[in-house]
Amino acid sequence: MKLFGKLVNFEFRRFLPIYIILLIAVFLIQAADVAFYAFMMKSEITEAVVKHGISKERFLLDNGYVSMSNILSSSTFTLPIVMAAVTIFIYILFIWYRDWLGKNTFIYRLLMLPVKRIQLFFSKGATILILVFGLVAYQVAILPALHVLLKLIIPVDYRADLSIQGMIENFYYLKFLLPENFIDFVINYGFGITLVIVLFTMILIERSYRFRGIFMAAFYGIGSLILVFSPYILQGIMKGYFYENELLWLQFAIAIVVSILSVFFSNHLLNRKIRV
Amino acid sequence: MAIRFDKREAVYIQVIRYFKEQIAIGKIKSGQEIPSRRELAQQLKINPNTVQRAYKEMEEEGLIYTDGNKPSIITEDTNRIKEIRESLITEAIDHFVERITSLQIPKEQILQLVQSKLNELSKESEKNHD
Amino acid sequence: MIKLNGVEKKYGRKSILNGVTFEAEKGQITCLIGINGAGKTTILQSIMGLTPYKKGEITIDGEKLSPKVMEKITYIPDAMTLLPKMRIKDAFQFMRDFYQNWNDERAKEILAFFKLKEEERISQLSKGNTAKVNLLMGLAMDADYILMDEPFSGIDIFSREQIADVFSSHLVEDRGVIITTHEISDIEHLIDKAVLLDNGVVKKEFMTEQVREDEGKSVIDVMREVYQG
Repeated sequence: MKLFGKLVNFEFRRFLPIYIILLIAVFLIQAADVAFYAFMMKSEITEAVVKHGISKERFLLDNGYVSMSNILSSSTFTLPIVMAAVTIFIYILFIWYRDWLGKNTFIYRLLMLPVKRIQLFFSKGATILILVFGLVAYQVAILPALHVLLKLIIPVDYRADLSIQGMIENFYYLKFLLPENFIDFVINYGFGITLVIVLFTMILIERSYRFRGIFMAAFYGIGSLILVFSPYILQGIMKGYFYENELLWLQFAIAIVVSILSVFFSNHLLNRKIRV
Repeated sequence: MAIRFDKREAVYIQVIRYFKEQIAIGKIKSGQEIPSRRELAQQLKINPNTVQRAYKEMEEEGLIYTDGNKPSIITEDTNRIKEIRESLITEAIDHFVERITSLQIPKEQILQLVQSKLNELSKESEKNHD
Repeated sequence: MIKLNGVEKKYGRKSILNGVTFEAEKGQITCLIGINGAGKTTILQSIMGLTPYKKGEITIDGEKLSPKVMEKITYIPDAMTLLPKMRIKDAFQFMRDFYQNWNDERAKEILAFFKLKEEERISQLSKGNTAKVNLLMGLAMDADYILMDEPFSGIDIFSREQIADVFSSHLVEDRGVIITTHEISDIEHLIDKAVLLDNGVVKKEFMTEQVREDEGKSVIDVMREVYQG
């Protein structure tokens, strides 16, 4: 167990430089977006109220309050966080392949560590999960800071301030990653983890069988996908027999089964089939 | 210490012969400590197991002896050393005689040739001394 | 003792190993000899579970490969197994973190023996020094068996001499070594046993001293008979 912690730590630190760059980029782009919006609104207020003598009430009636909610839904604001998420998603593949690539074949060392090889699988999975949670936590953490930026530029009379919960509410992608109720949280991350496990298994199939493995991995991936979505197929055949809720739970149960089978299969591949 | 090894002869035998020669010419003195098997293996760049075998054989032949955990020592038995010397001489002569008789040269001529060769060698060494 | 019994391996339709059987004892240096493609590397990788094999059995002191057995054995491939951006001291730290049987004192001793510095970055080592660091990572482990893949290949004569010196030193003492090579002359007098491989088959397995003593043949004489006769 101690070695598992060290493995996760090691894997995390390998991605840390890129991760830090990503987090900084997210903050800078979002801050720039907030600043741009705030200055634009400020100049509009100046133009309307000071130059044309329009009353504050009239302005707010026409334009609404200046609020974070207007920014949170803009595409420039969401772009960096989506980019970061996509980078992490790509890293799901690269976290394995980087060990095989290059002149220095680190996979030898990893496979020879005195740990059960499935621990490599779990440590890499845990690393991905930490990266995702870290990103979400970071986004939540910088929202108040961005809000402060808005407050600095726009006077309080023209502002509608949001609480953190309010901001999360208005932030579509974040709402998905940080749902309000716990059940949704479990379901979203449950499916996410299943996706990572299946992708990892596909990678190991390819790494074990190489050229043939590409087809086998594709087959495995498509098979898993069909399995997880089979309740909907069933629903089509049974012509709406299930409630929407039941369908979701059925899917969730299948995802768990697929995950467990994938872990066992990966364990087998790592112990018996993998090649360096 | 360096030995030019013959690749077709057991290395441990060559090591033993080397020790005998060194003892015979007095380069290694009786009562002297010999290197540990590890040291000798490193010096000669050979397998330590081979040195082990050579030492074991040398011990059996009474060439060296070991007292407890101390380093092995060259025998102090002067008779044994004399024997080694003699056996080396006999070996060399046997070797020489075998080769020379196969050439079918008369005995007198052999002796004469050996005599003159030895004279030549001693003259040369005198010259080198000057 | 590391024991292979009838190990077979295919890659696609091509068979790489055709029933390889041999033993390597603890306290001895066993040398797998064969031209490139004879299956030497595959044998070492099979022992370490780094590539699957089809039939046959591999045991280490009578046990099959497991994380526990893995601690008895250390493999030195012909490529660096640590990250290029690491300095040697980072690599030491990594090994210390993960291996209970990592021997830091010995690591530093070998580093001095090879005249290398802890500050050096792995990516900037010369070919010869890479081979030495590679060797170090394996030798510094308190393992009963050491597997080395072509430690002499493609490096300069002085590095080769330094590496050959390791074999007669206390760094190897009483451990079991399996070394692969296609060039025997560097280590002819250092090995206990030779295993001659050809096309994934063991053609001959012999003790080198015995062949010299009983038959008056050098290792190369025997190789000539096996490969050309």
